[in-house]
Order: sequence, then structure tokens, then C-alpha cells
Amino acid sequence: MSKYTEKSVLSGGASMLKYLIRRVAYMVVTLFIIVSITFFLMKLIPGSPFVNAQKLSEAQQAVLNAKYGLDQPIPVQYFHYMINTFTGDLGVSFQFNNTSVTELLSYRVGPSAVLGLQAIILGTIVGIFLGVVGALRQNTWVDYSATFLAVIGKSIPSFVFAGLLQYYIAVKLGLLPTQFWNGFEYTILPTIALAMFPISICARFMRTEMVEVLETDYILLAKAKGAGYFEIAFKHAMRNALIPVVTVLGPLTVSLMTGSLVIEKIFSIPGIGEQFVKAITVNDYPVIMGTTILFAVLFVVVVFIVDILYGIIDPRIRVAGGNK
Amino acid sequence: MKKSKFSLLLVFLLVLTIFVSACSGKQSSDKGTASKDSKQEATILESQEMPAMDTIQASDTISFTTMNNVFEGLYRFNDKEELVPGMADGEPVANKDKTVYNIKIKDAKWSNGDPVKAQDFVYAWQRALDPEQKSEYGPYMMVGKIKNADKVYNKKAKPEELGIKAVSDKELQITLEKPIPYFQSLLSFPTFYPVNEKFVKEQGDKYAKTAKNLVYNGPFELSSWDGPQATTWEYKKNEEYWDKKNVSMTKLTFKVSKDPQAAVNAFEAGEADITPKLSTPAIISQYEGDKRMKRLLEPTVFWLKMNQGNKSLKNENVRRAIATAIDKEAFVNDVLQNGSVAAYYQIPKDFVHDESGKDFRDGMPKYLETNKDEAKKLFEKGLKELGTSKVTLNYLGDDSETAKTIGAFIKDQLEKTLPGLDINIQSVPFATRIDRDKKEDYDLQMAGWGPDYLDPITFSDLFITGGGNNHMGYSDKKYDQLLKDASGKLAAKPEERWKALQEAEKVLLQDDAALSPIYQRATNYLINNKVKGFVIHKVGPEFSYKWMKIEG
Repeated sequence: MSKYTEKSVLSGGASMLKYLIRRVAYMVVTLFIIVSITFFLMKLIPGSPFVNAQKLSEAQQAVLNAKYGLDQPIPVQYFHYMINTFTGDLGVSFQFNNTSVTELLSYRVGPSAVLGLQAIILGTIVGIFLGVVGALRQNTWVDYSATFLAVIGKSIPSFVFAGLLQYYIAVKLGLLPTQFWNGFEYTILPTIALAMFPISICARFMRTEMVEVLETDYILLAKAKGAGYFEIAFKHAMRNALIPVVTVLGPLTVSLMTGSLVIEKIFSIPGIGEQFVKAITVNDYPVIMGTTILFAVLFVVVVFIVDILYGIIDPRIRVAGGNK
Repeated sequence: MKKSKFSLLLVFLLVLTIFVSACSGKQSSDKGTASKDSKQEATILESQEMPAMDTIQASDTISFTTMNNVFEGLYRFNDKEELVPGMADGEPVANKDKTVYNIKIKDAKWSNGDPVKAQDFVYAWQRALDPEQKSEYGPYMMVGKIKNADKVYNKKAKPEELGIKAVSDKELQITLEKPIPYFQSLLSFPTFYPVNEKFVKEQGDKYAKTAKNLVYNGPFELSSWDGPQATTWEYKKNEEYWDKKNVSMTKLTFKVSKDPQAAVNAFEAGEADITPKLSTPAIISQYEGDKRMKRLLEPTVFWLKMNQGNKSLKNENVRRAIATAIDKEAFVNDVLQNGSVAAYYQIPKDFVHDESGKDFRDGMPKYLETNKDEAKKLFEKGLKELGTSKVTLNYLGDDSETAKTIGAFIKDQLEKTLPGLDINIQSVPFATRIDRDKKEDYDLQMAGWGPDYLDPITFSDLFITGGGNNHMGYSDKKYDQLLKDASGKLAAKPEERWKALQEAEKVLLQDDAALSPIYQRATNYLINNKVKGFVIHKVGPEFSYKWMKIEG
């Protein structure tokens, strides 16, 4: 780090701590609001959470409602729920016969997380590579093919890739399993299918930014000072071009982990996305709430990490105190 | 941060090598056992996880099927759809008015060596009616059938007063509220299975949470199941089962695959031997004529309910016009294309047979046959009687792809055949539709019903005045009386009872045009040619694997 940044970091030490505390407080408030809104929205969904509502008489349903505390007025239910949640008790699932929500989520979060992370890693590496190469070899066949690949990744939905990969590679060629989640080779096809979108996003951003950065004054200066080709490309240009990519990485990570619903279904992966939608369709309130909280926490934390990362990547962006 | 283009390339190559090594390292251990000669193992795909293995907590078909294979009740349906003794030793002995039954228990064991006792049944049934247990199927199956079930459930009587007693370790006595002709088949349902009380008490909270928290008295044991969220589970042959010499399969592996195309892909890749029900016409038409596809006409009927709370639908001419305006043959042949048949009845065919083997539907006429010209005339008459030239109706249906296609078809048929009729489609999730049905917040509703036991009254009962599933504002004294007779004075006279139920169906459809049956559903499965003896039941738990074997 240069003398300039060292100085501001030292003097910003105390304000950094203040900043962190403030951010964490914001996070808690945001989460509180998200959870509350979801609770009330969920109570508005019509329908009974009991799987056999059709077959039960009114009296029998009343007995069940009382047992689950569903007959109490909504504000009372809300109060109980918030207290329980903040002490770590997310309740029990209706459809899965009293399994605790925390247990259900922890069972499912693993596969989704692994899948999401693998897809992001593959996506960023390949995407950045394509973007950099395209920018460095602007308007050549290298650039055009890289751009073409990126466009395909963005325009064709992931489930189409999933279906094609499953059919041609797993069924026709028998190279990999068609589905399930029993080892590393099972993760390959779903990861590729899911990585197509991140590849295209990263490639596009990376290329655009790189092209812009390559035209700037300080690059010109570095060239004039005699810096080598690789040094310019990677030490100077790429680092600056990475910022927009980092911006997108945050929400992209979360949406991958959670929005891989279709991929999880096609490849029969026991993940969270798939469980979430099922819970909504059968009105399994505790699971709906628990999953929402999980997603909200994840998103808020990722945004926070991304902000911190900015500070590390680009000394120009200091978010502590008033050092803007 | 000194990354060079070279190191980026390195990373890329690393990723590539991982791929290549993984490809070459693919073991065939997951390739299903279809390729192994006569090894009695198979892999079966299910479309959902299994929410519960406690016999009183289950409400879904997959849990019921598993229970049917790892537990056993007093009676079970065999591979010829006959009711045969399970835990029972021989046939029940009834008293004169068929309200008290004595049943002897076989010499049978639980998988932990404990003998199966009559008290296991008493304990299980009392437990099903304990409101603390929050059982849904317990009250549903027992109230109104087993003596005092209602009172016990509402804590107005002690559990010991329930109509089931252990006369001795090996003899049960069951008392009913009234004679029930299909009583014996009811006993094959998991809610009535025995439960080992000692084991349950030892397990406490952990009872039925995973495979090792259960004991089994059926043809198989659950050798692995991690709980309701598990996406795979396994059976192994139960060596303590009384009839184990007739069980061939030694191991069955179940995996959950929710995407229809993915399930077919697994089947084609040799990773599975049986698929879940095929649902997409595209897939079904691909396998039309393929010996591996097994088709079954289910005893499930789908109909258009017509809410008489809407004044236009209270008019019988309007209802009859709607019922006869829809081309049901075109529907099953052009829209569904999966072997389902057009339904001109309420009680399905291939469902129940009398003692001589005659189907309930044999010799019965078709009701509400399609007749578009007549329909138009009836509708015009109805409009005149209502004093209006236009009628708008809300059509409530599910939001699955199939359901939406059905809705579009019906809307098209009705609007084209009956000018002046406007249909508004509302597609909602299943739970929402049930809720709105209960509130009678609909005009037309696409609904279906499958039987809970092997008797026509499971369908007829739906539409008595104020019945729990009526919700149509339908009330006909003649219908009610016929049903009352069937459950009352004709209960012990099967022939006359049957006639009463057939007459009731005529009243509902022919006389009153209360609803419009559309189709009876067929289901299709892909089954590996080496799998023999895969039994699919019409009522109650869906599948039995006791008679399955792998050949060739």
C-alpha cells in the first residue's frame, strides 16, 4: 500500500470501528423489518397449512389450529414469533412432521452453498478471463468469440443448459451421472449449467471496464514510464476494472445460491431453493419464514462484505467516517 | 496481487484437469442394478421426500406406501387385489348385526424379536385419537366408524372406551358405531397398523425420526432413512417377517427426482429401474407402444363442480347445458393424451366389483353425454328463465401446467358452444383452491377425488346435504335418503345397497345435473423389463414390493 493509504487507514482506525458498529446496527434493523414484512405477507396467503385440510371437519381443524397456536390473534402470533426467532428457535415444519426448521435448513443449505460457490468460482474465473482477453485483443476474432460465448450464457436460460447437458453428456455419452448429489462428479454438470450466467455477466462487465481503463491517463503514464505489457494489463488495468465486477458479485452470489431452484430440481439436488417454493405452495409457515430469514441474512452480510472489499481493492473508495 | 496471464491459464488448466479426472473416475456403482443378472436389488425413483414414518402422522402417498411395505396391519391387498390376512390369523368373526368383530393374531414378530400382540393394535388406535399427537388421518379414518372414536378424540371418554380391546395377547375385539361393509379393507390402511408400545416408550421423542428409531413387522425393514428431508432411503429384507420365504427382493434403493424429464433420463441411463408417474404428454407419447411403459386406469375422477350459490348455476338448465357442452372425448384424446378416459359417471370404473366379479359400472348408462345442439337450446332456455342474455362465471382451477391447459380447453368449449356465456379463469395453488372450496368462493371448479377405501360410498358421501366436501350448495332429499339407506338399513344387504348407490349417482347426474364429470385419470410408469411383480394398488397405499422379483 502507498504511504497515502497507510496514513488514512491508521487515522481511520477508530472511525473504521465506528463504521463497522454502525453497519452492523443497520443490518440488524434491516433484518428486523424484512422478517416482519414477510410475516404479515405470509399470514395474508389463503389456505390452511394442514396437508389434509380437505378431509378434516371444522372441529378437527380447530383442534389442530389450537395446538399450533394458529388460533391466536395475529399480533400475538407475531410477538411470539419474533421472540422465538431472536433466541434461535425457528419453530417446526408442518409438512415434515415436526422436524425443526433449523434442522431442515441446515440439512439443505450445504448442497445449495457448494453448488453456488462452485458456480461463482467457475463463473468469475472463466468470465474474467474472457473479458480480459476480449479487451486486450479488442475487435479481433478472439474478442468476438469471447463476446459471443458471453451472450449465449446470458440469453439461454440455465435450465436449457441443464437439460442439454443432462441428456447429451449423462444419458447419451454416459460420462457423468444424470442427477443426485453423492460426490464431486455429481456437481460438475449442475455447476456448468449454473455458471453460464455468471460467466456472461463477469465477461461483459470485465471487458467493458478493461477497455475503458486501458484508455485512461494513468495507463498512458505507466506505458510512458516503460512498464511491461503484463504489468499494465494486470497490476494496473485489471485491478481497476474489477470494481464493477465486485459490485455485481454480491447479489449474484446470493441469487445463485437461492435461485438455483430449477437446477436443483432437474439434477435432484437436495438444496434450499427447491424446498422454499414447495413450502410456499403448501403454506408451511415456519419453513417459509425460516428460509426468508436465511436469505435476508445472507444478502445483508454479502453486501457488507462487498463494501469492505471495495475499500481493499480501491484506495480511492474509503467508506469510513467522512473520507470520501 | 501479482497475477499474471500465465497463472490465470494455470488456474484454468487446473479446473480442466479436475473435470477430466472426475470423468475418468466415474464408477459404475450408481449404474443401477438393472444390468446385474438376477441380483434381487432395484432402484426406484420417487417424486417427493417422505415426510413421516409414524403411522398416525402420515397423510401423503409416499409415506403410506413405505408403511405398507415395512409394516403390516391385520389385512393387506395382495398382487391380485384380494384382501388377505396380514397380522390376522384367518378371517374375522362377526356378530349378528356386524358391529362387533373378533380377530385372532398370528404368531408374528417385530424386527427386534418382540412378538406382535393384540395390545399393539389397541395402543396404536388409542394413540391415533389422542389430540396431543395431532394426527390428521386418525380422526378422519376412525370417527363415525369405530365406537366412541368421536368422544375419545374430544376427550369426552377415556381412551380405554374406544371400540377396540385385547381379549388376550392373540385376540382382538373391535366394535363399530354401525355396520360397515368395507370394514375389513379399511384395516389395510396404515392408520390402523399396530405399534410396539414398549419400543415407542423407550424411544421417547426420537420415535420414528430415522430408520433406526423404528421397528418393523412387514416384508422389509428400512435400512436407512435420515428423516423427512432425506432424498434417499433403502429397504432390506426383514428376516423376522412371517412370510419371508415369499419375499424375493433383498435390497431396494429409493431416490427422489422431481423433474419428470430428469427421472426419464435416469431411467434411460440405467440409474433407475422404475420412474415416478409420468406427467407430460410429450414424454408419454414418446413411449407409446414401448413395453417398458405401464399404464393404469386409476379410480380417480375429475369433475366440474357447479356452485349453486351463484343464481345462474342454481338454474338446472344452465347446469345441464354446461355439463353437456364439453367434448370430453376430444379432451382426453387431444389434450391429455395419456390414456385417461372420458367420464360420464361419478363412481369410477375398474374400481369396485361385487361378489360375482361384476364391475359397479357394468350395464350402467352414460350420464350427461356431450350434445352441443341440445346444450345450446338448454342454455337459451335457462337464460330466458333467468331473464338475462349474458352470464359470467369464475372458473377456479389449480396452477399446474396441466390444470391451466384444462382450464383453457373448458373455457373454449363453453364459450363457443354457449353464446352469452363468459368464463373467467382463476389459476391458484392447490391449498388456495381447497380453501376457496371450503368458503364456497367459486362458480365453477375443477376438482377431483380418489377413493379412501374400496367402496363406492367414498364417492357418494361427498355430496350429501351439508357434507364436508359438498360446498356446492347441492341438496336433494332423494339423494340424502338413498345414502342414508345405504349406510343404515341396507348396510348388511350388499346387492340392494349397491343399487341404492347406483340410483343416487343417477339422481346426482341425470336428474339434477349437479356437476359435470370430465375424465377418469390414467397414470403411466416406466418399468425396467427385468422387474416383475411390481404391484400397483387402486386404493390405500399405492405400491407393494413383496411380490417383486428381478428376472434375466
